Amino acid sequence: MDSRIAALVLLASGFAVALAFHFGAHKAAPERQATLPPVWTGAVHVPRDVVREANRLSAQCRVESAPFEGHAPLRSVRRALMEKRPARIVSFGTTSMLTDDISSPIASYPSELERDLEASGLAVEMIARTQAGVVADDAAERLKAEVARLRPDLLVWQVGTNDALARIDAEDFADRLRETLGWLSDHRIDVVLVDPQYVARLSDDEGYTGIVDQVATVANEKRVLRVNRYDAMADLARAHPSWSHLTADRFRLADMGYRCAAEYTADAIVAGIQAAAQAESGRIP
Amino acid sequence: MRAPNAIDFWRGVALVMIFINHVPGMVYSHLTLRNYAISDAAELFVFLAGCSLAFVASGKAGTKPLRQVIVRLLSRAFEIWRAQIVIISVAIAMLAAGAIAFNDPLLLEWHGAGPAFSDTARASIGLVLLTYQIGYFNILPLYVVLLLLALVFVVIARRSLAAALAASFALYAATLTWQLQLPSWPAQGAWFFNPLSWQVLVVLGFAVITLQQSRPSQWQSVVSRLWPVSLVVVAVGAGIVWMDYRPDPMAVPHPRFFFLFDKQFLSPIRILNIAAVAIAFYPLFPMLARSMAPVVRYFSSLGRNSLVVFCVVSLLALAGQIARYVGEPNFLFDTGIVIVGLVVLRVTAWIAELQPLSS
Repeated sequence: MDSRIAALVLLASGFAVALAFHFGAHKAAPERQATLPPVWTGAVHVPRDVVREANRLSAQCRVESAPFEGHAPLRSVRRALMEKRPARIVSFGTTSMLTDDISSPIASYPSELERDLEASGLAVEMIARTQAGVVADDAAERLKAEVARLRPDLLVWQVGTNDALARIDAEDFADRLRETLGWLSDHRIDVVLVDPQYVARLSDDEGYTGIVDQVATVANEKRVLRVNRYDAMADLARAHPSWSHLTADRFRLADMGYRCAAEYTADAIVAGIQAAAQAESGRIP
Repeated sequence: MRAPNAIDFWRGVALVMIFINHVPGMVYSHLTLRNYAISDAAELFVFLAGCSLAFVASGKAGTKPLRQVIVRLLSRAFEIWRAQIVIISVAIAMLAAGAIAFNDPLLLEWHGAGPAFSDTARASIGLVLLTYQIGYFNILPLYVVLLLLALVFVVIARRSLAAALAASFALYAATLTWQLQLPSWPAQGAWFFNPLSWQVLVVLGFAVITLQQSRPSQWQSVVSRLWPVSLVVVAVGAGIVWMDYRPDPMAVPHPRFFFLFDKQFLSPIRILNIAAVAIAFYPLFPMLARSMAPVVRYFSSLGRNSLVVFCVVSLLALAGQIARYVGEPNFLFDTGIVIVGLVVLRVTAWIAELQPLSS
């Protein structure tokens, strides 16, 4: 039995690698469309009733592109903090580790985010959940079930990567994203979206960038904060061309994408809390 | 090599549907059970595993010695555990090969493979303990635990089948009520398939075949009476899927997993639906065996060698996913993946049957 399984899995893996090499040639395709103009972008003054201050971005994460886009009050997070309880945050996406003693930022994105938020004076309870492989309706259902179980104040959702990898149609993806964001809004769950990573190989891949564009479009339409990871990583890739290559078992660009995304997400959350405070005080209609 | 039978045939059908479903986005996925029923091929596969369990626990001459049954179940669980270690290792290697070949970091994180590369020490331990699973490679760990749980239920069933069913449903109800789960590690979260609830499907399959063997005339009578009802249930299920209706998990009463269509916890409606599908399609096999013998032989050969075929299904599906990701998928491309898959699966079953002891 062992020898049969071993022989067959080797056969299958050989088939996979052969297919992968055969179809791996780069294809000419239109470049990704420019992202929508941000409704609101930038560093924020944080209300002192809830948090001390937004962290400054570390030098290596400062890029030309806006770190996050959108103007959306995170009312549930603010409510939690005003009630003197930690805001419950669920980080949903490709990574699901919640531990500090891992060198890889890929693994520790939720931990980095938690640390950055606490450095801003926010008391948070971070829960990490993975979304391994599921796409489309299944992904939406799984997310809803987890949200119903965990009842977070805020969902930080790395969205689109699985669908892009599975070559799901961008319009279909957008429709499901709209529906899920509507459901979250109906149940008063705050949301911060984190768009897919920039990958040099896919920078002119219409299918991949179509998903990235749809995340921006739907986030703008639904007035949801969106961490601009794709554009920020593209800036980093231009500044550091060698980071796009595999070195010592790591893609530096991917590592930095996660590390910086944690900083950008923390800033977006702080901005969202400020927007909630302004909205409640009547400064924003 | 045993002759084609209904269990092997439907298990072969389930394996092909799992192959197609595990390459998400393919146009052929519209043909699989999940598009016409609330349950899907995974439920069918596990239910049929329960049916097979009845044959392991009892032979034609009657109940087998308990010791023989326990040894058989433990050795089968160990065999499946080894298969899981092999295929998840190969899958991780395939993702790594793809990442290197295409200079693409996304492949290192695909399906939750990230910890294998970013936290290798913990992931290696979790892989052996089955607490670290990657997407689409999470059915065999379920099987291992189901076989271990089946030991308990088979022992109870030797005294009373009703008691075994009661114990199984009690565990199922407790799992849904208190949301009991097996934890993932080192990644946070829980198993994609919750064995504590899925065990009920195995015990149901076991009970169905045990009753068929012990009371064949009554069993046939009950199935005949339930057949029209099952057709209605299948039709209603298809209608619900067609309307794309799913209960809002925030709106249903507690304990909510009783009222959802949840796959992880195997909500009751999924059990009802797969039971109805099984009864509704039960008369089909003899008809197919007469009118489409080559097709029946094909699927039965896959079902007879379900473990080795499942391993190849998993790896072929991942190969298909990588090919679709790096290529330009269209109808012809997907057709190629399906044809290659069907051929390789048949060759796999053929190789497996070259040896005297097939799985």
